[in-house]
Parts: sequence; C-alpha cells; structure tokens
Amino acid sequence: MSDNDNQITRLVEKARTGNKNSLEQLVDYFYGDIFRMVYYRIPSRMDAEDLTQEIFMQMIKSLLNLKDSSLIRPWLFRLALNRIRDFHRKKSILSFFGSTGEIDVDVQVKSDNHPDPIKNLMQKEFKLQFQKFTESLSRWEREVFILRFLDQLEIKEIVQILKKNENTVKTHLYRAVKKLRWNSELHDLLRGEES
Amino acid sequence: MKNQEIHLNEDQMIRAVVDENDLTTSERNHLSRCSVCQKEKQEFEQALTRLGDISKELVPLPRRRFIPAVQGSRSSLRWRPAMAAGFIVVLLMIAIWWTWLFTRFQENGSLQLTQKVESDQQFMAGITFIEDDALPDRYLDIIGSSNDDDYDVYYDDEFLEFILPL
Repeated sequence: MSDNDNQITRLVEKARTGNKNSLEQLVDYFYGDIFRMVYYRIPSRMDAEDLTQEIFMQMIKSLLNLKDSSLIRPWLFRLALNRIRDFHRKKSILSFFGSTGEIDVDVQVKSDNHPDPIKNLMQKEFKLQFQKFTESLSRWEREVFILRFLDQLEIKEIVQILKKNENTVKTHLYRAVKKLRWNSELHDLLRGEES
Repeated sequence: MKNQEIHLNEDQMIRAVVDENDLTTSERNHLSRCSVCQKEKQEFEQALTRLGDISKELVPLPRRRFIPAVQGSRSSLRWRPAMAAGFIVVLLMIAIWWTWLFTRFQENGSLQLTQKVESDQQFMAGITFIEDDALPDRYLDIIGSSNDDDYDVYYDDEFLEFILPL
C-alpha cells in the first residue's frame, strides 16, 4: 500500500468518527475523479453535476457501512455506478411516459463549451468518437473498458467494483480492446494525438 | 529471421496489454527480448493511457462546490417516502369515495326513473279517461246518456234537417 493510500485510509477512518475536516478532504480528493466518471457516462453536464453531488451525499450517509477503509476507492466508484444506473433507468421511465426532462440541445452545448476554441473542438471530436466507440461495445465490455482506461482503475479495483470474477473482467476488457484496435476511429484519434 | 517469425500476434499483443501475466512463459520471454514487440506494445499502451489523459484534460470543472453537511435537505429527503405514502392513501380514499358516490347515484337514478314511469302512466290513464268521457256525469244525464254505450248520439236525417233545413 502506498503512502497516498495510507493517508486516504486514515482520512476515511477519521471521517467515520465524524471529523468534518477529514470528510472535506476526502470529498476534495475524489470529487474530480467521480465527476469525470459521471460526466463521460451522462450526456448532460448539469445532470452530471447534480448526480455527483448526490453520490457524495450518499457517501457521507453510508460511510459507516464501509467495512474496510482501504477499499474506499472501489466502494465509492461502485456507489457512483449504481447511481448512474438509477439515473438512466429513471430517464428511460420518464421517456416512456413522454416526459424526458431533457434540456435544450443548444443550451447543453453552450454550457459544455470550453473557453479555448481549439480545446472546444477537440472536446467535441473526442466525445463524438468516444461515444461512437462505446456504443459498439456490449454493456459489460463498455463498463470494464471505461473503468480501466478512462477512469484509469486497476483490474483488481474493477473486480471489486463490478463484483465479478477477474477472468470475466479480463475477457470483457480483451474484447473491448480488440474492437478498439481494429474497428475504431477513436484509436486513430489517439494514435494521432501521440504523434 | 527466426526472431521475426515468432513475433507476438494480434491476440497475444492484446492479452499483453490487458495483463502481461496472462501470456505463456515463452511469449513473455519473447516480449522481454524482442524490441519490435516491445515497441508495438508500448505504443498501444500509450494510446490507451492517452485516452484517460485526454478525458482528464477535456472534462470541464464542476461549477458548484460540494458542501458536505447539508442537514436541511437531508431531513426533507427523509420525509419523502412518508409523504408519498400519505399521498397514495389520500388517492385511495378519494377513489373509494368516488366509487361509493357513483354506485349510490346509479341506485337513486333507477328509483327515480321507476317513480317517473308510474306517474306518467297515471297521467296518461287520466288523459285517456277524459278523452273517452269528455263530459262530466251531470251533462251526460242531460243529453240522455250517462252510460258509455249510449253516449254516441245518433243524428238521423230528420234531426239534421231540423238544424239545417235544405
């Protein structure tokens, strides 16, 4: 376990005793990662922000249920994944009843815009290619691939988040990577970025 | 030349990227010796790492900061299930009351209809009686027939000539 991991574990233990300062530090430490995770799984930035807040509210409420403080990272990601699933379920129910609650596309694009026009273009192109690629994957391939390479989690952490067998996770990952290598413009985009 | 023949193939390369420990010992040995395969694997891994880096670069900063202790909103959230349950109970009560009211209205309606039919029948019987016996009994006596059978007065030619002489 690295020093950073030890420090996080200590923060979790203090936060569980009701130390507000440790809780704030813990939130600050994970907020960016969780927001990024939600942002790339939900089309609307506003929804992503709301959902991230809800995830941390739930984290605070359920922190006492966490048995092993060293597992805070996979535990939090699992909690976030469940909330994202709930969000998509709720959205599909709403769209079934004809009330999607979607915001205007123009407003959405403007609110997502990066101040730098070049970065803005890159952001749009990346999001488009990323979305195209992930749509070509099966549910578990997509989940495992994003957790591994976008959220940059270790395979062992993914196993804990998804509560799946390590070999199953690797198989899904293998299939997703194969699709990326052969059938994806995203791979070209990433290779282009490198050179 | 022999080295070229045993380069890692596509599947082996992907397996190496997913988890190098999943390769067989001979494949791992080749990878550790072969610069071509190492380069290919490194490039592929860099592309995948780049995916995470770009996503970090391009994600916008969240506009709102999270404030850990929000007691008010939490306590209001606790009431939500109770409020929903209460709302459902009220809805059920309205539905039951409405059904009862509707049934009662239907019963009242059929009773009123029967009474109306009876009164109509009585009314029509009265009209029929008046049609048949337009004159009260007193006048029937004057014209010489209080009996229904004798009521139709026969106007013979003699009588008509008396009224309208030709």
